[in-house]
Amino acid sequence: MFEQLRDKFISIVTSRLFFLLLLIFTLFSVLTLRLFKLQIVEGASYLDNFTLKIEREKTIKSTRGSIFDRNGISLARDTLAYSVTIEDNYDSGSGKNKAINETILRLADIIESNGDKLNNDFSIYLDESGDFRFALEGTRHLRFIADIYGRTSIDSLKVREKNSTPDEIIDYLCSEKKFGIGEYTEKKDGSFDFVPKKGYTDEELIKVITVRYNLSLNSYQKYISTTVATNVNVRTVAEVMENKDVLRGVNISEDTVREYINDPSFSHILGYTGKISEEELALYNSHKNPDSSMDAQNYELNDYVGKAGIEQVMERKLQGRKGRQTIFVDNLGRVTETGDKTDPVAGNDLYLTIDSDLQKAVYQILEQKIAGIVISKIVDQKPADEAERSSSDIVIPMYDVYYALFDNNFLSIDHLYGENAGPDEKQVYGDFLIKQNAVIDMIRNELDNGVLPYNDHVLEEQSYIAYVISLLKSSKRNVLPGESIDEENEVYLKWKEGTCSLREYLKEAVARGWIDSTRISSEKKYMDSDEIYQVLVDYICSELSKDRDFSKRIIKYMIRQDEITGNEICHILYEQGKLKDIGDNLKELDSGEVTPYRFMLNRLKSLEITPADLALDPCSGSSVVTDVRTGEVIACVSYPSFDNRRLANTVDADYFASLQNDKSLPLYDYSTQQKTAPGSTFKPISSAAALEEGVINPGEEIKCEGLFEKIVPSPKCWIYPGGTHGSLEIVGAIQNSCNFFFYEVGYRLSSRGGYFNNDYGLERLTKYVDLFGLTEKSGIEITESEPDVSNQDAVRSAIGQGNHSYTTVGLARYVNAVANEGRCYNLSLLDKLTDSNGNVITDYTPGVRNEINIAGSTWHLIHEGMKKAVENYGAFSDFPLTAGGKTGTAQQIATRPNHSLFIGFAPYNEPEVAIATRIAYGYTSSNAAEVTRDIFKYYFKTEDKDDIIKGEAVLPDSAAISD
Amino acid sequence: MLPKTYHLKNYDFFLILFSLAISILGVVIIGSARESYQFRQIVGLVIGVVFMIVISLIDYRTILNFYWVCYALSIVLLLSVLFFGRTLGGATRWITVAGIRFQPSEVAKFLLILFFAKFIMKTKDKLNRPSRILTALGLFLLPWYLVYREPDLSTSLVFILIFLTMLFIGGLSWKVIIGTLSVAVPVTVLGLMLVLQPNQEIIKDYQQARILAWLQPENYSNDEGYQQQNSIVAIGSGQLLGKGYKNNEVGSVKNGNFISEPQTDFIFAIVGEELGFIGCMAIIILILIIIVEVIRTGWSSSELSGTLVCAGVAAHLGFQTFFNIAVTTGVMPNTGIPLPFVSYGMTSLISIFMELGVVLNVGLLRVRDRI
Repeated sequence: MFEQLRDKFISIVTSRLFFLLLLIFTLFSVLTLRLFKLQIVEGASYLDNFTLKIEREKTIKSTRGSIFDRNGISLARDTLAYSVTIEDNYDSGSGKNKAINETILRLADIIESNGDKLNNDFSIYLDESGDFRFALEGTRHLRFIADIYGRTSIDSLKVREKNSTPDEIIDYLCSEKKFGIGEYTEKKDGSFDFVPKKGYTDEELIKVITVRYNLSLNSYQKYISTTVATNVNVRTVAEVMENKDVLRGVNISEDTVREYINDPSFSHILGYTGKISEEELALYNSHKNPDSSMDAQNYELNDYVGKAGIEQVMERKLQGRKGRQTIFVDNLGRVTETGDKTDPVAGNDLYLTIDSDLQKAVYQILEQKIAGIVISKIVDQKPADEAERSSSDIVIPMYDVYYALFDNNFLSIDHLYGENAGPDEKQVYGDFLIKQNAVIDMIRNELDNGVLPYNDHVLEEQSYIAYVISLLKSSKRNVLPGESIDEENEVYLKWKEGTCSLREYLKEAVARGWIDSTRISSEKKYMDSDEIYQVLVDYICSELSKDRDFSKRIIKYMIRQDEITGNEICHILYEQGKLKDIGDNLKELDSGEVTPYRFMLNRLKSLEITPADLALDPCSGSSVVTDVRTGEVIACVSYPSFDNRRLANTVDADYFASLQNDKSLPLYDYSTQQKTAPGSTFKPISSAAALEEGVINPGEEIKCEGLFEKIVPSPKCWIYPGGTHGSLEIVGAIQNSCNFFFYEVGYRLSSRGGYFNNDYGLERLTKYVDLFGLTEKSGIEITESEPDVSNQDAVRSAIGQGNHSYTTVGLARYVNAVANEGRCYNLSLLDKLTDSNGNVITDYTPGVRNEINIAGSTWHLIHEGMKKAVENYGAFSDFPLTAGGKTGTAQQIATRPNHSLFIGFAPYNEPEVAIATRIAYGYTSSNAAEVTRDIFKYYFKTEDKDDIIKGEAVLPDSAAISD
Repeated sequence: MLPKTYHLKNYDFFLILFSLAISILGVVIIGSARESYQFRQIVGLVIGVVFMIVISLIDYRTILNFYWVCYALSIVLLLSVLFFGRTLGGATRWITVAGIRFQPSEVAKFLLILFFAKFIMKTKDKLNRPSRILTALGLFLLPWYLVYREPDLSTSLVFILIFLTMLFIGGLSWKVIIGTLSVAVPVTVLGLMLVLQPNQEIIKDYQQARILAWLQPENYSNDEGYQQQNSIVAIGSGQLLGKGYKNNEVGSVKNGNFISEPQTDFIFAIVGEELGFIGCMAIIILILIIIVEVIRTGWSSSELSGTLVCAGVAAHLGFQTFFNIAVTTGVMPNTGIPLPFVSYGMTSLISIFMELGVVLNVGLLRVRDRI
């Protein structure tokens, strides 16, 4: 029995079937062990990790804090806005691309037909000539390319991908395996034949690609919907909602957008918000945050932050804290369940020290006065040759005004031949083409055969010929790079002198290899010098015909030669929609009742065309008003300005480009960034130095001799050679702004042991400059230029010349310290910070930088001088309050008008406000004085508002006065 | 009606019971994975059981007499895939006849087991002659290649293992086996190294990608390895008792749609996630019991052909189960093969029941007692 069993056992164990069973059993044991490890040993960690994987935090935007003026008037706030969003809830399959693309096109149509714009944040755009172009450069561009091709880093990009052209990327994205943008023809079996791009215009392509690309970025986080258009109007909302059944995945979401007070005077102070850049993101998130006692503020790529002005400076205070919502998502990021939620905390509200009413008024006062100055200088004549002009007798020929309209892009050359061109535009453009051909023929002839040296050409031709070289040197083309030129070269030196022809110079440039021929020809084959020169000639002629700056030069001479008439230009202003015909303006012009000259003056008078539109001298001005007792800035105005509402939220790229090309520099803050010499506004500081250093005694008289001959070359008093001031005490010297007196002060300050020591004088002068706060920035929170204290020529420095250079806001701090007799504040725009419920968090008060400890008698004499000075000024003859002030004139360049400056305070006995005003190239200091006077009048309400702010140009009311 | 040699006591109700049990478990799990497939699987199960019972009553030796027909039929079926096949997910494995879609390679498995059982039996004494081995190999390679180029790498591997098992059981000499292995193992290792070279042309890119994804899951987390990674997470996170059948937990990998094709190749992930270690072991043990039953039947067979059929069926169930679970738990690269009895798939289910029908008949006709 046992043996039987044993035999059986052996036969089984040795059988091959048993071997099979054993093998299978072993394999299954492996599986069991594996399952034991996965489920029992590591099970808990798999569960935890998975929960982490599907858990997401969705941020809930906080409301950005509002900004108010000192009286609680809202300047900036978040308001509710509607956005159009789309999400990809389309069934995957062959028809998916077609369905989404058609929805997007239809949606774009709805949005645009209601006057809204699609968000355009794709890094390829369609330029004016209809070509696709990249919007980014450098690393950011490569990052974009890597994203397109789905590479995790720039390094993993293939060379071919790295060098993709915009068109190649568009083709790639339109292909069937990507977004499938094109025409489908359905075959019988339900599949599609596909032709990329077919059936789409380039504009449509870029719209669809923009949305598809943004959608694809969210393809694994479908809980984030993609925004198609921001801040759309109610008509768009209504139409989208009506068509919701056909617009699959499309939704309207409520969002906030930044809304600003509708007045340009605030734009520089407030700045604007925009989508955070990668640089800002890195900065804000890495920043060692001084407020880190609060939660670390984690910025994200879709956040909006302050891009300029107070919005940028106070970013962290205004931003608020985001709310968070925990959600759980599936494999495509669709929400399956929601979890914990933290509500967002609204940002803090900020109150500025600015009085918004005064701020607006100052802007208008500046504009109307600057317009008045321009009008008063316009003469009905052709321009004299530039070389013959001098600072004192500069006028503005009307022909320059006509040309300025084109030069500053107020009138568009491209509009002349566009679809909407009017009859006068067509006429002018026809004439322009004839002239342009003639000019380019002249240039070609000059290049082919020219032997006449540059200097022997007439001015007009010189202008064109000179442009050829600047064209080749321009950084965009870089055909003749400056660094390649041998500056010792004989021909080059002759060209510099103007004693050789353009042809000779360029032939030499080709022969010497200064010309980068790869930039003018795509031909790879070797070319000899003559061939290169021929290619260069063709290149120049073809580029000139496309170059708008060259067109402007041609137009300039056409205007001068009456080939474009004033009458035509007046009409073109209407044809381009720059003027609206109110009343019978055009009729009067056409009937001859009004000459084009008078017509233009009227438009300038009515401010239909502003000084900033022309960008002639003067076109800018700035004024800063401070509270003498507290150091608070109550108005800080830079003219011209811009509409920050068009830059906020999503940038209006065309508008931004036009601002950058505007020669009046509207983006530049003239009040905090422009620096010029202070001129005679500096004299109160010299007076303080003179009295305190004891180089002048209070009653001491100095006799003005006109020419200050103690130094050579000898500077003159402004009155000389027309006369001299005679003997003056310090009060009279300030009153009459006697240069001779202050030259002597500068000279005496420099005297050490009987010898003249320039550095010693500068050192002593600088001590007082520093006391009045002009060695440092004023303390104002927005961007400000560093001041330059003169470090040369102590004698001239004492009258505000030398190389002193200060901002208007710096002068404002200085005059504020003069007015309150010695308290030099750090100026501030900030009044208080409150939480969203109005509880004060921080009450800002301007800090005192220093107290100026000088004798009461010194203050008295300076004030007395400034009071008498004001009494002298015609500008203040009808001003009912007493005031102290000082004008200043600074010449920057002889061919342009002088800068006009004024500092002042009022009322004289108990000063409340101090003002610094500057009109760069404003001819005479009385203009700045008049602006300041009008601001005083407005502030003290001594005159009716409407009498101060006229809504039209205000001519200078006094003849040029001396200073 | 039935031959007198059939004895009811020899009818393996035990095998029927267990195969029904696991199939019903499969239907239940499909209900959680993709409820819409559940009904069709029930239909497949009913048809399969009917086929099994009918076949179990037909003398298998009679069927084996038509072994060349079996072979021819399998070739015709596989060729029809080549010409009329329907392509799904990059592979052509299905044909549609009279509106019914089925997978010929599953049927071919059944037919080829029958063919080789008879073929090997007939050549038993000369099996170790090179000419015979080569003939057998040639006859095997034709259908194998047709499966391989569908392409269906995993099924073709199962084909090889079934074929080798049957040769082994049929009495292939140890000398040949050891000789072959000593060549095959190094060649396999070398081959694996070769196919993983970039730009190789031996296997298809997607096959290479799967092997690489298995070897380096972190580099393939969004492509090939993604499926397998999620399957491992699902099984692991099920822990001892699972998250519960048809649960609605947020933390369910299945509910988050992270498992693609949960009703077919990755059904074991659902088992692991919802029924836990207990459920997994239940599946493995049930299949093991069935395999033991099949092998016991083979042992008791009076004829070598019967033993060979049983060995082929046991190899089919054993290796395919191993491959499937090894893939879902990340022991092997993703090969895409269904879990016998459990995965959705009517052709596969019916074929297996047909195989069991033959095994039942082998048992009915046995001469000696089973162990």
